Amino acid sequence: MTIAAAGIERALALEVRDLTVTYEEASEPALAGVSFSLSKGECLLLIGPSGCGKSTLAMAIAGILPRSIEARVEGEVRLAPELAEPGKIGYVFQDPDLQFCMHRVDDEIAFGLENLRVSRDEMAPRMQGALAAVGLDVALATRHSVFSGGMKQKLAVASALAMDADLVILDEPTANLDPDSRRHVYDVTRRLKEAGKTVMVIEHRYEPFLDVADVVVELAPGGRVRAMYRPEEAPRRGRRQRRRAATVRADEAPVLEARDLALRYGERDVWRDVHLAVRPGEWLAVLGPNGAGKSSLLEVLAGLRRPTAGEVRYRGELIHRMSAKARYGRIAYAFQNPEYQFLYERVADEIAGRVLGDEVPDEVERELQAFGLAGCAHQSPFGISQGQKRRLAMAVMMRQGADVWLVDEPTYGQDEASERMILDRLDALCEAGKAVIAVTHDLDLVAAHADRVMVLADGGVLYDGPPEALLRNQELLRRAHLDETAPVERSRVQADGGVPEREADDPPAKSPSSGRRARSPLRRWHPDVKAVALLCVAAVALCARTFAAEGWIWALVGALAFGLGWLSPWKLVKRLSPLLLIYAVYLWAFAANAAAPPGTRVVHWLWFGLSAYGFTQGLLVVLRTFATVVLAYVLVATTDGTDFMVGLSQSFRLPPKLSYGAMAGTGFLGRFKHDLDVFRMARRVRGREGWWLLRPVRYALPLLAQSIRVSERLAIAMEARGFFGPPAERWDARTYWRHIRLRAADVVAAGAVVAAAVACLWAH
Amino acid sequence: MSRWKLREVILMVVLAIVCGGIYRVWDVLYALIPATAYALQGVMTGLWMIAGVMVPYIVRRPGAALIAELVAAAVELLLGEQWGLANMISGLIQGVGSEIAFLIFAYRVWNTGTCALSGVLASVAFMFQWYFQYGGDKLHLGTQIAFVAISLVSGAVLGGLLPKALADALARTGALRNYEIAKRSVKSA
Repeated sequence: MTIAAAGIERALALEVRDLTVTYEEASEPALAGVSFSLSKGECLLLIGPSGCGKSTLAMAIAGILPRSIEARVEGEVRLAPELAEPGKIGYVFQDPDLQFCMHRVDDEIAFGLENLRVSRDEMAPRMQGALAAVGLDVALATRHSVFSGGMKQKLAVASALAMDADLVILDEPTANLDPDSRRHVYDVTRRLKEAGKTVMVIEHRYEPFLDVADVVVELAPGGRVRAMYRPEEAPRRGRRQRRRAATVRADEAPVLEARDLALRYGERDVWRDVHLAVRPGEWLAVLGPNGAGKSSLLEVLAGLRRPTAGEVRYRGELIHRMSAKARYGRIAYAFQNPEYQFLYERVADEIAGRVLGDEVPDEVERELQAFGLAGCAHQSPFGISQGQKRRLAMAVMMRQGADVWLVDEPTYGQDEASERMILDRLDALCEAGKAVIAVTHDLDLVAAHADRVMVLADGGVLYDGPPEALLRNQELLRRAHLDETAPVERSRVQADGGVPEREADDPPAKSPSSGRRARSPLRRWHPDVKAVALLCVAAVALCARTFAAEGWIWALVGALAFGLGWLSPWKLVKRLSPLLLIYAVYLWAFAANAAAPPGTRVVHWLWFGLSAYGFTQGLLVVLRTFATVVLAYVLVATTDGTDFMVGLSQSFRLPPKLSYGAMAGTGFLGRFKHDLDVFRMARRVRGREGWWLLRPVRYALPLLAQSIRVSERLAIAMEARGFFGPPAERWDARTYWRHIRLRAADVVAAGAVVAAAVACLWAH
Repeated sequence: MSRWKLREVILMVVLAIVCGGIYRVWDVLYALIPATAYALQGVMTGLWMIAGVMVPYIVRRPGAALIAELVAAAVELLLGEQWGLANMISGLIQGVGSEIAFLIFAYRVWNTGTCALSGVLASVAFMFQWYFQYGGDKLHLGTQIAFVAISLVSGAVLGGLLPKALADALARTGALRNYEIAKRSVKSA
């Protein structure tokens, strides 16, 4: 492939000629002979069914292909000279959570600037400018994990704008968002266009973008251009306006009933006073903003999560009294991410519910056909497309013959054909007298399929009734974040979101690592030097063999924690007290089992040999080990993780690839517990929760497969922001927003502390 | 180090985090079994070494075993394990143990044998810590011998063969297409 900067018409931003892309190991090209051009300042909308090569095309233009993803690229992508510079093409990915590599807004935007070697003084104004350009009004030090999906996408665009991108590519930016957040994306697209940027948008639900688009390119399966349109000529997706006939059997008793449900997480009421009953043949849709607890409600209804108050009954029987087997034979549950539900390594095995040989029985083959999975029988369930995964999960559940279907976002990430098939299946279930409860953001779906709608927002049920009345009630739609058309105000983080709002006197150029409050000496210590020093102290502490030595070690640990770290003794005790029980048990183990030297008194009881000798020896072991527990607490409580990682490159010349790569990986830590919870539920639904002792082993494979996909996407997103070549490989080939200084005093302090620890060993 | 690809770095960290999570679950189980059930403790030992085999077996780069085991230990620490910084020292020496097995074969041999050896050497490293720090030296000789023998077997099986089997199973799902593990097996096939 040639990316030619010269020889392109002046007004053109880019020109693609006969572009063909073939992924390794694929027999067919993903993109075959695509040609088009885009003028500067224009907005191109790229559409087509899933798997037709839209993202491939966008990534080839952005240079991600073949730089970050291995593939054979033929043909030409010609870019205007100014687009060929690093950072001039910004890329916003579908999943807002998988494109950030830092934790705070300022670090995140700075990451791209550091790759461009922008000087530190210039960073703050650029950040402020970019945030203003997308209409995101938040303090620079805010953690972006509290943002809504829409705000995250805005931040991603801001990161690109700060790098002075002239072409911004938005790759399915609204797929994961509720209608309210989608508005923010439409808003920011319009702002980009007005600022004269060239924009490329990939979307399935593209109608709202037709207002800003100048040209629409439609790809067909096989990666060819099917057609190019002016926006007004673009095909409108078939609206699901035809309502299905009502199937609810109002005269029959409810299959699933919930009374006075309430759910709290810690101090926070998620929702309360939820009443609900579904009858055979009924389709109930649950709507509400992101974070309103819709998925949690579904989990409570399935008996996967115990509510704080209230009860759920299946045909009159309390759900948590039913055996798991009986419960999930009657109640089917589809998670938002179908991958969690897969148990086997091949699609055919998944359908059959057991490991098949090479021969696929006819009956399984028919099932595969029916769900559009023909030809996938021997593939891994994790390797097929997003739409295929969802259909496979549906096919597997269909075999259970359940009465109640709980479905979390059935149309999420699906193209039109796949979506229609799933909805037809659910319609058929209702006709057969099953009940369906679906959590969704899709108002079209609600209008066409739901018999009844429940809106969950502001900690309770905001609406429960027929869909028509809801869809007419603009005020209610707005309160429930369901209004896609209302104008966008500047997005801010609410004060009750637990994030500081920007204060008027906050000087914007302030470096993040110089706080205003006085910081304890331990906090001011270089984070990496501190970690090494404390680790050395721990190693020395573990060599203590006498009570005198341990006493001095403990005095040193106390001095570090309270004298230099200014930690609250109360918090420390509260945090570490659960561990004391474990240590008490260890102590007992030594007292009962130590090999007491001859001549010491041993009391024999059962098969134990209790001795005072064992007790004192055990006490020594416990004291020295627990000292390192306190040291660990001191280290974690006084260290900023980002400073720690950035310091490794800045002061110790570690290739940024390692430190920033590790930083990006840790973003996954927060998701991990959530993933694990959902995953456990998914297993329970399929009756394969497994013996608790073996769970870590049985859960490992799917969890690992999930984490590999996460890491690949993160790596691609980071490289798309200029993190390749020298800025990723050499510590001095980038600039740093965080200024971590290594002073002589840091090293002297480390030496002093370790020397003090060593001196303790010789104490009497 | 600079020959690592970014996705390998992130994969290493992410896998190490998952391992750290698994370790933490294992810590809880360990706290629940009777503290005097030394044989059972020995049986459990091996699982704390999985990061040191799984990650290098997938990315096949020098240093991967050590760093992965260290990161996993750090994650375990952040999740609130009961051994404090002593756990980081475990991570360090076990990582060195795992690393040595692959180093001996110049990072060229990646099979059942080297993986099992890696698990065993990590276990050996831990035996030192167990003897000198966790009070192994205070127990009867018979108990000590039994504990060491069982731990080494556990290191080979839980700490060597299990992570290899997991990585192979992962490779079969196609998730590791872009990593050395898949490329090497394609060549050898």
